[in-house]
Amino acid sequence: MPDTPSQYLTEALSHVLLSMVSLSPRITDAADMPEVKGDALNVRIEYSGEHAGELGLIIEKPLAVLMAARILGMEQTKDVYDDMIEDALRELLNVVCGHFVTLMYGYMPVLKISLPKVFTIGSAVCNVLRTNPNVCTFMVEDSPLLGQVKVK
Amino acid sequence: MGYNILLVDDSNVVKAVLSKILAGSSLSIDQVFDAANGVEALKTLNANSIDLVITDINMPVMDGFELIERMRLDAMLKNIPVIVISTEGSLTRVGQLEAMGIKGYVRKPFAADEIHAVVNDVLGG
Repeated sequence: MPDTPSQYLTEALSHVLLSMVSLSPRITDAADMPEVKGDALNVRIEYSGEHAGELGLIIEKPLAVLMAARILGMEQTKDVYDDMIEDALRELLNVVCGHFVTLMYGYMPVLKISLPKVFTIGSAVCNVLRTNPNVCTFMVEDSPLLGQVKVK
Repeated sequence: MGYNILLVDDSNVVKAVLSKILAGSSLSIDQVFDAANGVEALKTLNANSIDLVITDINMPVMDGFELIERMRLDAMLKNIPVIVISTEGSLTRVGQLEAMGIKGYVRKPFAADEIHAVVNDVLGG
């Protein structure tokens, strides 16, 4: 059983990635991860009510494109446009957050989940963030993926 | 004559996936309408003959709860069946939705079979 917010996020993320995009994130030590190359997409969401906190995912663009294509059932990633990628990432984190709060707090609390927001961040910021204690690090299909969790 | 179905979700990706799933349904579907929030949904409901509403809960402008409440207060809309598809895992919240008269609830992430089953149950039964 998980007992830290990061472990709950790992469990929720693993379940949702497998269900929605048939991908399995591998927990990876930050020191063993390759550096993030190029811009990445940071999607963030907050929950509030009896409990409050925020979650985030940082995903390299090629992996985000692959995820969007799989969610949409598209065979060609070249047909996936930026708005589709951002929409897919928002939906993915929305579902991850729904599972995270159920795992963390159970089935009874009524929590308000915010609308997810997507930002572009540079590789330098990503590579600093991955050593942050609130960040869990994964490899998905040879791409680094960072998960952020903050329980208030 | 087939069924007219209204999809309400702020995510275009979710609406595209649901449209594809409905197209593969055994039911005769005439037209699939879509709306990005409760306000748009009410406009579509008032302008068209809709047989089923499939809605998300967490949306901007007007969420799914308010949409269902407003439909229940409107004599023309109150008998249209509603299925909710949401990330919501709270049994308290699902109980509230059931008390509001929804006909089905599917938690995201969903599989095509789950959508077919609940839509068939509501429209085909």
